[in-house]
Amino acid sequence: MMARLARAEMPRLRQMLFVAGAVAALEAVNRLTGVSGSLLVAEIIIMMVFASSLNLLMSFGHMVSFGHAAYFGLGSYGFALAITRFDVPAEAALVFGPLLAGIGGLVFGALCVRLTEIYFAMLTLACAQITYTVLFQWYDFTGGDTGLTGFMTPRFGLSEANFASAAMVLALVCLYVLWRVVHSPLGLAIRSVGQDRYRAEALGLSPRRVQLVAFVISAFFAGVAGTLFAVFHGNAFPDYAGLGFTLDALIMVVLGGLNSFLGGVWGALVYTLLKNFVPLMTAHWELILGLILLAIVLVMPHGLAGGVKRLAGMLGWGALR
Amino acid sequence: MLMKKVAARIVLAAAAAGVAGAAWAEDGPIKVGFVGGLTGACAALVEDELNAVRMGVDELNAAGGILGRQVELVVRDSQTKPDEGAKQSRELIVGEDIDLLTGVCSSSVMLAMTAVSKELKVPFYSAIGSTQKANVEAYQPYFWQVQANATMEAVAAAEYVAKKPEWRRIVPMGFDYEWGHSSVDAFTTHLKKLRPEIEITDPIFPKVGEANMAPYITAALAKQPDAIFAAVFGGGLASLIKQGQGYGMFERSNLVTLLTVDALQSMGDAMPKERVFGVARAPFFAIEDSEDARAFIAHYRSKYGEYPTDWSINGYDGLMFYAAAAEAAGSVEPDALMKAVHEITFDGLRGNALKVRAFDGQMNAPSYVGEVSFEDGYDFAIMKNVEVYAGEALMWPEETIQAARDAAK
Amino acid sequence: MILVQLVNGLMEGMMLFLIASGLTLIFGVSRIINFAHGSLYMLGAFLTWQLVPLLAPGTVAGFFGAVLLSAVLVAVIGTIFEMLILRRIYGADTLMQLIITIALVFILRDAVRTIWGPNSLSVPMPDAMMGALVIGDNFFPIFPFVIFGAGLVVVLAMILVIHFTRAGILLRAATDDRGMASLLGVNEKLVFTLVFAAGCFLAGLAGGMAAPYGDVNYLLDTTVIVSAFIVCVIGGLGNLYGALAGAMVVGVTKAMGVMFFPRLAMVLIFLIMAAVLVARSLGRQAGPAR
Repeated sequence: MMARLARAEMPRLRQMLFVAGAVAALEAVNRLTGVSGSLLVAEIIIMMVFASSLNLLMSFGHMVSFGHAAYFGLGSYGFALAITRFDVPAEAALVFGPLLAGIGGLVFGALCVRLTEIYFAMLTLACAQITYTVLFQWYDFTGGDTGLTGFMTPRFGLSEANFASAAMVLALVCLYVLWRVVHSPLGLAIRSVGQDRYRAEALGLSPRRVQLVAFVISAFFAGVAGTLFAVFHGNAFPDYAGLGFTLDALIMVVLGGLNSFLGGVWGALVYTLLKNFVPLMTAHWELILGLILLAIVLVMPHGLAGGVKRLAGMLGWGALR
Repeated sequence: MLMKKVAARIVLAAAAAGVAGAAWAEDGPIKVGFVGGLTGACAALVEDELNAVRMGVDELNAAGGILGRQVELVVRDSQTKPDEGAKQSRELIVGEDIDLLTGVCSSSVMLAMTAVSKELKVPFYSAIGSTQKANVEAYQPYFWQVQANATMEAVAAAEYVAKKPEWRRIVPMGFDYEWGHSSVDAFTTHLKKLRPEIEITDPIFPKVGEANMAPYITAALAKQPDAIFAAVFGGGLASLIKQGQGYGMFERSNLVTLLTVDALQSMGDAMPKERVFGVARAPFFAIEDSEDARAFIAHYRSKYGEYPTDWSINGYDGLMFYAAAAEAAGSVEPDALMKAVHEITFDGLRGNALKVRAFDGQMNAPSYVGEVSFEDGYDFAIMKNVEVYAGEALMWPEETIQAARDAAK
Repeated sequence: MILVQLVNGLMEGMMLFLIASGLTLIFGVSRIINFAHGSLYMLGAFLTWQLVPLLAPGTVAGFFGAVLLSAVLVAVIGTIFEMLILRRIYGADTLMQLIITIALVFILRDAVRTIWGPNSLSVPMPDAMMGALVIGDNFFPIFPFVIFGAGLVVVLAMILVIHFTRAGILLRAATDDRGMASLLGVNEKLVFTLVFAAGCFLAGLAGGMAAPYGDVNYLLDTTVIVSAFIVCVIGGLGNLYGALAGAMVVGVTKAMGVMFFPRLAMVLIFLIMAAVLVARSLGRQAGPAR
């Protein structure tokens, strides 16, 4: 806790240099590696937002969600349904994705925060499965398993590279807001409830209310990622709220490193790269991916951010922490 | 056998081949992008299609390729996920300059990929995935499908059931998603038209992939049907047949269901000896009259050590149809190619005079319905007395499609 | 029909219990959420398919022999995995264990697809177990009763082990208070390994027992794991008797749901799960602070 608070005092300059360097590196890849590179960069960025939204819950609120894809999926569908069913212009529909996800977060979150630990996780799983089933079965409204397609030009017709850049700007805004949340009094409350809800309660906080606020914020940003994903592909499918995306997000956050703001970011970067390149190299990509996950967990039991932190410490770059 | 197909009868005017896009590569290999669910729910089906497509590409190349150009197959795994399917398709189109996109299996991946094909104007056909949504609401001019779509298959089943006068009460059953519902709807509507007096009960919709079918079997048999029509497949179908035996389903009723060769093979001895009727896409034992088909089956067996399944045969037919269209068009430039796709008549493994209708990209592919039976020489059940329903009679007329398109708007 | 559906439900319930018992056992003692439980179930089914023709095909003894042998093999594989990998990170965050078991899901799925291919396989049912008891118009297939019997044997065996053996005492001690058990000289590592092996054995057993009643394919892992979670959660994670009750609730609900709310079957079960969880939170509110 103390270490984390101290980080807020870190020299601003170093942090900004780090962010600028990261953005420059991603933008360089985006502009220099052709369309395939831009597609990859865009996917990584969307996953960074998605994983970071879960990271807020897990690293700071110590709430483990087994159903985060519900809010990603609601983001995609909020956007796509606004266009297809309510004739909202596509640009305006963008707000409905995160909005629906936030509402979903409010409803499900209100139930989930009544529980703790593994039962909390299991209730998030139940809520996500209910969401998935509704999207899958409500054929007349959601399009059922065949989803919604053809309601817009993917990426609003932007070139792949320009879309990746635009997504990067949006992701930076999201991450900045999340960063501010974590380092605001609200963030302190979230962290203290996450560490010891009884002590926090004794200090006058209402743990459930704090957790619910964290849950809604997290769902909202998962919805932003889901909306971006729907824009990216120009479609929405129930899969986006399914177990696959939930597990992806969990792997990214844990792999990236719990208890670190950048955990989700590192995890999204590495895991998305793995998921893209391993299948190109071998038909046995599941085996290789599994073995790589095992290796990472065994070598870096505190996640990639922990590993990066140690490396940065050795090199004397504080900003990477 | 090959040359005959490549030199398929060409009905179109010579002018068809004229317009070629400026940026379209006219030399180097013709690239076929195969984005298939090699892992995930579709893996078994896509593997069979890919085997046949690999074989077809080798044959084409041995005979000099298409339009004198070699054919190169680029394979990607869509993991049976719509987002992966769309992404891999896009990457192959922009990164590998593929001339053709195929390999699709599940309805959702198919709709995701047809949208990419439309946007980037790359020809795309399906040989497994069969949702008629791709022909109706989501139709786009660069798409065609080479097998009977879900509705056509259900109509064929209805035609077959209608000819059994002793069947008076039917229970329709389907997996609870688009394919199951549209199959049940098409079956019910068509059967009502053919035999207005027949009693069709409320349909039963088990969850997709349900492994425990016992409660659904009980519910279906409680209605004392003469036959059950089941639009289910894979694990759910195996459960239906295996568990149904314990409830006397094949003494008390009959089952009409989708039975492709892979399903027959995986059931093995567990298939009931009688009272099962299968609707199939391209069963090898029903096309053996044709010399081409016999040669293909022999070649496939020698190469892969197993019988070709419906997916293999349709996959091969699909590729050869493309080759014929490209030869006819004199180019693989998308617009010229699509014109040829809509105009040529093709002799395939599944018979002659196969054509793709321009209005919805649907090939007049036949459906096969027969009676499950154990025959000498096979270690799994095949079908006897197979009736072949020509595609034209099964396809929705253009007005019906237009009405459905208007309704979807 | 209600009677038949009730029996159907109880039968499926016992199958679900067989699946969930291993998961809840492992969680109860070592707090590991084993995502690979479904994969181990699947492995048991494939091994049974492989072994049945090698032993005595068509006979009851051959079938049970194959199932038990498969379960033992799955337990051996699970134990090796536990000792080589899982054991190394008992100190780290429990979420790391979760990722490790997810990695195992990937690995086993690929291994199964590579060895047996993506096609569905069919395990023949022993001749003596085919057919049904016919009472009036109602058919009661025999095979589910066999599964039910196997489930009862497992329940009885567990009661015996847990209440009447030294291993059971250690197990209860480790479940109730891990730290205290360890202070009192219980070899924690050994207990964990044994429990993990037992859980894997149960997964393999369930996979083998269910194999002849549906098809065996490489997608069974995900199909099974979610049902197993639901059952464990309804019964209370780590609680074996709870799992039995939860399994019966789920089985009967599904069977009855088909009659009364056919399209809601799947949602209904998650709703029950959510309701049980919320009810649990209300119950806790009334109790002491912790």
